[in-house]
Amino acid sequence: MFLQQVIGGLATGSIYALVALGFVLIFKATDVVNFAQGEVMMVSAFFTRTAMGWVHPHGFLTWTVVALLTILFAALFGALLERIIVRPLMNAPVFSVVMATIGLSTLLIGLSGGVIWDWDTYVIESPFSKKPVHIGGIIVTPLDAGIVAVTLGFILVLTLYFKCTKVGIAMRATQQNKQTAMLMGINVKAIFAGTWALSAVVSGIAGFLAAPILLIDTNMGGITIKGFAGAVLGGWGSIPGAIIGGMSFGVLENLATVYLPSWIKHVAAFLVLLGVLMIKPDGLLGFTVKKV
Amino acid sequence: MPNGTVGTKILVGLLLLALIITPHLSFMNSYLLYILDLIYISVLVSVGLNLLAGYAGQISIGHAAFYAMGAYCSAILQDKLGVPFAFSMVLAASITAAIGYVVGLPAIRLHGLFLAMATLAFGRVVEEALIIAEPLTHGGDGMAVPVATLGPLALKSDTLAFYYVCLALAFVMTWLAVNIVKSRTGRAFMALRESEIAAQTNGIDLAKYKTIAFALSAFYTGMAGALYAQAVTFIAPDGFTIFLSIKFLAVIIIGGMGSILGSILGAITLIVLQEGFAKLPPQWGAPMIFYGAALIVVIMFMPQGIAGWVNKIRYRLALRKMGALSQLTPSASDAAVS
Repeated sequence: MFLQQVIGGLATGSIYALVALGFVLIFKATDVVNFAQGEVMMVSAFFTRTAMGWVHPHGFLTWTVVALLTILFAALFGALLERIIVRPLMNAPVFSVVMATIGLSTLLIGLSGGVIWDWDTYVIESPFSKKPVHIGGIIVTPLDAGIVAVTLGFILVLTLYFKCTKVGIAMRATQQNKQTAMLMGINVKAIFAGTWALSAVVSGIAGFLAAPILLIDTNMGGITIKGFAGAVLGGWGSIPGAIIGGMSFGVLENLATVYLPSWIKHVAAFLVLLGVLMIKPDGLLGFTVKKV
Repeated sequence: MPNGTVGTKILVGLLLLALIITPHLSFMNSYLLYILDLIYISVLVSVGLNLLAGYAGQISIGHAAFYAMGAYCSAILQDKLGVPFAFSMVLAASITAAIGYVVGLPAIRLHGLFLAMATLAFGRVVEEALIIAEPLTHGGDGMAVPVATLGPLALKSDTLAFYYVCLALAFVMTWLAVNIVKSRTGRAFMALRESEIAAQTNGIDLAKYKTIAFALSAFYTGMAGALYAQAVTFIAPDGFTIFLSIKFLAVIIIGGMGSILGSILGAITLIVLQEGFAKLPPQWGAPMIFYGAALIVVIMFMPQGIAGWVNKIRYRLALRKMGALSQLTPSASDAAVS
C-alpha cells in the first residue's frame, strides 16, 4: 500500500518538479518569481489539445509531432512574454515585476477562457495507455511510468545542455553574475529571453504530460503553489533541489491523502511552504542560493 | 493624501457634507445607494491593503481570505450567538486582525516573494476551510446573512441607516490611516519598504512592524468583510477566490501605491467597473482580462497610479505659483527648480 502510493505520487510529482524547475530557472537568471508559471503550463496544455485537433495523433510519430509543436509554441510564448512584459521592467524593482506576473496570471486565464478557448473542462488522450500493469504486486499504469520517464529524460537532456553547450554555459554564467557575464561578451538580454523561453518549454512539457491526468481547464494554473512548495522543499534556487523537491512533494501529497483526512490535500502546499521556510529555510538539500 | 493644509481640510469637509446630503437628492434610488455602500466598503479594503502593500511593502495575494473571514465571522456571530451587529463587526474585525498577525509572523523570516506565495497559499486554505466547516458556514452552498439592527434601525443595504454606518466607518478609518501613515508607525512602514537593512540599522524592529502592518491591514479588511456581508445579504466561498485578492491588488495599483488618496480613487474605479462588467456576458472573462492587463499596463507606464497624476498636477500648480512669486524675487525660481 505504502509503496503503491509512493509510486503513484511520482507521476504528479514529476509535473510539480517541472513547474518548480520553471520557477527556479527564471529566478536564478532574473531574480524574479514568475507567479504566472502555472498559467503558462495551462496555456500550453490547451495548445496541446488544439494541436491534437490538427494532427489527430495515433502512433509514435504523430505524437512526437504534437509534442514538438507544443515545445515550439511554449518557447515562442515564453520569449514573447519576456519581450513584452519583463524586458521593459528590467530596471524596475523586483516588486513591480512580480506584480506584473500576478497580473499576467489573471490575464492569461481571462484570455484562454474568454477569447481563445473556453471555460469547459477537457479530458484528453495520452500517448501512453491508462491500462494498469501489475509488477510484483504493485499496480503501475504506463501513463504514470511514461510521465516519470519523460521527465527524467528531459532533465538529463537539460543537464547536458547546461554542462556542454555554449549557450547553456552562458546561461549559467549569467545566473552567477550578470555584470561579469556581460564583460565576457555574453548577450545578457538574449540570455534572459532564452531563459524565459526555456522555462516556458519546461512548463509546456509539464502541460503536455499533465493534460491526461490533471484535466485541462482554466484553473490548471493552481499548480503554481504546489510547484513553488516543491521548489522550496528541495531548496529554493537549486535545480536538483527543484526536481527532487517537486517529486517529494507529489509523493508526500499522495501519502497524506491516504493516511490523513482528504482535505489535507488542499492545505499541504501551505503547510509544506510554511514548515520548510520556518524550520529549515534551506530546504531538504540545502542548496538555497542566496542572492544579495 | 491631504497634507493637512486648511485648503484640503475645507475640501474634505465639503466632500463629506456632500456625501451626507447625497441620499436625500431626488435622483437617488436604492441601487445607487447600494453602489455607494459598496464603494465605502472597498475604500476600507483598499486603504487597509495599501497600508500593508503600499506603505510597508509586503505583497499579500491573500486578502480575499481576510475579507471572507470578516464576512463569515460577523455573520456566524449574529446567526449562531445572536450577537448584535455593532459588536459582531468589531469582533469579526478583531479576530481577522489576530489571524492577520499570525499570518504576518512568517514575514519576520521570509523574503517578500516567499511571503507573497505564502499568502497565496493561505488564501486557498481559507477558501477550502469555508467549504469544509459546513456546520458553521453551510459549506459551498453559502449562507444567508441575518438582517442586522442598530438600536431601532434595520441595517439593510438599501436603508439610510446602513449608508451612514458605511460612510462613517469609511471616513473615520481613512482619517485614522492618514494619521497612522504620518505617525512613527507609518514612517517605520515606509522605512522597511525602502530597505529592510537600512530600517534595521535605524533601530526599527522589523518583526514588530511587519506583524503590525499585517494585523492592521487585516483589521480594515475584516471590518469591510463584515459590512459587505450585510450589504449583499448572502455569502458563499466562491465569492472570495484568489481572483478577488488579485482584484484588490490591481485596485490599489491603479489608484496609486502608497497613497491614501489612491486607495479611495482605486475603490471607486473598482466598483464602477464591476457594475459595468456585470452587464457583459460572463463567458467573455472580461474582468479577468481587464484587471490582468490593467495591472501590467499601470506598472509599466504609470507606476504611481491615478494618484500619481493627481500629485503631478498639484506639483505643477505649486510650481506655477512659485513661478509667479519668482518674478518678484528672481532667486526663488532657482530654488524651486533645484
